[in-house]
Amino acid sequence: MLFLAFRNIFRNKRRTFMTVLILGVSFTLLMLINSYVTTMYDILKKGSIEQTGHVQIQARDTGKDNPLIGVSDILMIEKSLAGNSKVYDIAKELDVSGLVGTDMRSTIFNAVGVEYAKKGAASSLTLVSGFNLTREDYDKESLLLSSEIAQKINVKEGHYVVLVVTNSDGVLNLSNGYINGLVSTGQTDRDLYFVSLPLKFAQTLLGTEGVSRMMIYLDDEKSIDSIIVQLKGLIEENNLNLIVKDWKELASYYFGLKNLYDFIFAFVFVIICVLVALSVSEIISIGLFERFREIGTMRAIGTKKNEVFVLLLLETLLYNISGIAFGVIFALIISSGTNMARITFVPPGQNAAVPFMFNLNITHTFLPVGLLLFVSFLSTIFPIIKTTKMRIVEVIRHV
Amino acid sequence: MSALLEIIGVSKQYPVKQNMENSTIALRGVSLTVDAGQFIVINGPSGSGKSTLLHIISGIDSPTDGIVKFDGIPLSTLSEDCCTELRRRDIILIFQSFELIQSLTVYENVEYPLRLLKLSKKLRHQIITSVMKDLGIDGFSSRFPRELSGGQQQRVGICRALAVSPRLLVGDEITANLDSENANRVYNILKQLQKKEGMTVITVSHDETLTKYADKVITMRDGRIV
Repeated sequence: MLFLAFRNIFRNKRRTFMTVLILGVSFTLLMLINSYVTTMYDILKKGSIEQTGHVQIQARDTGKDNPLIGVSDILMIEKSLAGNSKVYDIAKELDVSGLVGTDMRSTIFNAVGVEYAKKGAASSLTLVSGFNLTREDYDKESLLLSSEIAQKINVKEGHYVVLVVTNSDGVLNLSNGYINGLVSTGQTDRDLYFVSLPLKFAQTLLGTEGVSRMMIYLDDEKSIDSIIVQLKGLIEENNLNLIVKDWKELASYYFGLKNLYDFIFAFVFVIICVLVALSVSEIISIGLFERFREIGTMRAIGTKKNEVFVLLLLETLLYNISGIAFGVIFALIISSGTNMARITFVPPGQNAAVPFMFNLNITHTFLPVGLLLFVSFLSTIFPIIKTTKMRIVEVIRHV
Repeated sequence: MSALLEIIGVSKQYPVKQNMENSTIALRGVSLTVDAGQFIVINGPSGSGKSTLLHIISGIDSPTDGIVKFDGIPLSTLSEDCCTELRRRDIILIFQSFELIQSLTVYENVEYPLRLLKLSKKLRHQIITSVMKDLGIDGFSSRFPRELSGGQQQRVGICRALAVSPRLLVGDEITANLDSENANRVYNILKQLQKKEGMTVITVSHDETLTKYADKVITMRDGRIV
């Protein structure tokens, strides 16, 4: 039957070409959309974890402004995680806000005091001009100013600005800061107020040795749960006023975007399935219609109903296999060409370009392609069943 | 000779969809006994029920009333698969419009029913070569049906039927598209098979010259045997 099925799909080359084309283009679209979305998710997830850490420790909100993790707690946590092979790095950050300006102009700022050379908020910055801050600058009163603020208060790298903050005792504190470089966060709204400075400088401004959060980076995501359990145990045991959060609890942007794209992808998938189902069903039905008499003859000369059913099913399978092969080849060509072209675009609400690329991983496409295959089979099964169930004498009388 | 085929009081009604009372009656209480090894020709005007009778005999259609027995077994008691098995080996129907499988070559078309019987490749080749030579189509084996004339296709259809050596061959105007020489050639072969292997032949033909081959000529009119 396989031999006959193979011959039959080539008896009308134009129809076979159209069927394979419809299936192939559908498979290509699904593979490309899936790989683009998966690539984007990976980039966003990686970016999200870089910003928040796999696990984050924060001071419990006690109603005070800017609750901080105290020095003793920091040391206890660092000691607890020291030597843990699952922990890749621990970074600390301190939030500072206030006014930044010159004698002529000023504006509000939201700064993050960071440990440079570690992962965290600083790792996602794009240097616009000047120089980045490094680990060696940890004790300097230098800062990275967003290009938006620099434009607003008419300063640039190499200039000095005054930072005015309310410290942890509620007293106004001010300090000069040297602009090492101008940066962009990639998000237009954030750039209006962003400043990055060394953690020690931020602590000096606020008159504290505490930090707003500790970000713990792990070698493997699978260790998140065990680290959280360990930290929660430590917090409970020592009655610390701290909370532990998984990165997922902090990545609202990532999950918001993912949910949106999942919905869009599902909607597009449904449309593709409907189009494939209607087109393939129609093409197969026309083919069967033209072969009614031949199918009737085959049954009349001794071919059983289930053998005819298997024959027609094999033809559908061959169409689908050809479609998948065509789809994979076409997807590979398009993805390679697009990746080589290095196309970039700036997403809405951001000011940094992101690459438009496909990380085509065939295993990611198994589910959507498998579902489409199922839909394709389902759309042909009814015409096939209807044909095999027809009475022989009706079929051979068909004109 | 024992009865190979018994048709007892067979009627066939085709209901008109909107009105079940006004139905078309194709056969009206037809009864016929065919002994093994007989050669029967059925003739009659168009619409007399000849093709309907052949379809019922071969099991591809069922009567509204009456019984058809093949080798003493009522066809109505057989499952669809059993009827299909019967049509693979014992009862072969040759169509007026030959109905070859367009994707297969002439050789493969003749081979098709032998494959269904799961014969060995060597045996299949022996049978096909012999039958194709008898019918003078051995030169066309690699051609496809669309490359043949109507007469050539009809001979391939007959060849396909004869390759199986059925106990009962049922033909509907099998020589309609053949010239007289080839028509006679076909009937001579059928006659030889009747004598050598005891094959029973029931065929519909309007050609009066072919009735000379028949042991019995049956005339049908208005769904009855006259």
